[in-house]
Amino acid sequence: MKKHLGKTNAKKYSLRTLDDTTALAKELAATLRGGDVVGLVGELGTGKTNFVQALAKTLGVKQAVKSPTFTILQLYQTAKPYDFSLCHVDAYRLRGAEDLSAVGLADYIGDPNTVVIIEWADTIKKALPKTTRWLTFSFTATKRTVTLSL
Amino acid sequence: MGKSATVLAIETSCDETGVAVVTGKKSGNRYELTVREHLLHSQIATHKKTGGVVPEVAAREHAVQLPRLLVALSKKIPLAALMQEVDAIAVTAGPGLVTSLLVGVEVTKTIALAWEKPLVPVNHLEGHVYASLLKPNKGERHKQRDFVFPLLVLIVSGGHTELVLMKQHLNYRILGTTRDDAAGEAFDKTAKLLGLPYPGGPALSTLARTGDPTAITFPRPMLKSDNLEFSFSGLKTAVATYLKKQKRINRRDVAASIELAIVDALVGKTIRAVERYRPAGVVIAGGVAANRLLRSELEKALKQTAPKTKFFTPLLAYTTDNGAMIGAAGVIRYLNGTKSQPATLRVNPHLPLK
Repeated sequence: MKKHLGKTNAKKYSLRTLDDTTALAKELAATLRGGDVVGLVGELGTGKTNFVQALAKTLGVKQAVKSPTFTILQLYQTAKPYDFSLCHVDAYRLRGAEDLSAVGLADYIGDPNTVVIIEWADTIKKALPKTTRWLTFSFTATKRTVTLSL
Repeated sequence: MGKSATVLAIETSCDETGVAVVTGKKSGNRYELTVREHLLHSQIATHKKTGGVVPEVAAREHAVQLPRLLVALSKKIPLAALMQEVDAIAVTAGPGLVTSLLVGVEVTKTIALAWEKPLVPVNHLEGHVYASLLKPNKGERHKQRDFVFPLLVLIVSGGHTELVLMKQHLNYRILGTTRDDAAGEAFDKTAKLLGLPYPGGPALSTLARTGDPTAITFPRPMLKSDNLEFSFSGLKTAVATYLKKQKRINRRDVAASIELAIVDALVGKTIRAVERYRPAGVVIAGGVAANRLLRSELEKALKQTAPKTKFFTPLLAYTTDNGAMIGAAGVIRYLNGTKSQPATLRVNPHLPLK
């Protein structure tokens, strides 16, 4: 049984190097279960796709993870011990929650065999479960910050 | 003696609805293509309001526009004559947006069933490659030759950035792709950072024309690494950081510097592939192939490193998604025996080029 503890504590991370990104990806990966939804929020160029690449690597995905802006949705196979697929979504081009079914995303959200990770997730917030975990990316001229609400 | 065939072609993979009739002549292993008719409806005006292609809107627009274009076509070539003349119906089966692709493929299946003609599924990227073999309309001057092999292809569009080696017609080997964003996406997203309207790429290039491309040195990721891969997400971050840091911004200079950074990366890797594979010809394909700087810089670099290499570019009219390019690839496929049946043809949003 999956437990949702309902915690609302937010943790802040400073990502200066790729190692920092990988460490955060590992921390998140350790808590992921099939059916989870992760929402990524942040302006252009703040490192959302880069984070998904690091997470996919941690999960043992062999395929190269690219920006899904054009295709909107891409499914990846993870490797053991992870027993779920990773569904990488980009809501950049979606207007809102009503477009979810048009891209077939409704089939994956909440599916016990899939973890869905969504870039620009704030665009379709209404359609996402309350248990969605949010990572907010921002940056200044010198450093990149990620806020993770678990 | 050569063979010849005519196809009706339909394209609905993204935000352009295209219908065309293309005739191809094959003599030996050489092809000559003629566009009989070519009708196009662009949804750019529709998508300007939303700032990008919205799948649901795009699919609905295709469902409205495709029958309109077919009716317009029947006014140019009466349906009875068209049915007589057409040997097969070519359609984009992928890659693209699944709901958009479905509109074109289902309409094509219906026509194929009614006319009892075979279907020819075409890869959208293959269509872009073969756009360079399309001749200009009557009265336009443009020397048209068949491809020479091995042929190096640089496909650059909003969704794709690939270097492909073709040993012969319809034979593809992917040499390198992007690790993150596509080149066209890099244009569109950096343009958005500059506050330019959708579609940002062409607007950025227009702004760049009066700017100084050497004003800011944006990164050219992977240009020095010894592979044929691309990466454009770092450029986006660099531009965003620059815009945050600077108090006074000359948008023309920023646009020109972005454009040169993208073009340098594309030209650099293409030339590396030329040195490695010594192709007889190079062709650029896809929406970004319309970019003037890319065309001139690549031509210049080719003259310097491999002056004997033939350089192919599509006519500007055929750089955007269109039906004629699907007809071009489709008729060549048909002349080589590719056929599919209405009951079995499926769309594939991630259809690989092979």
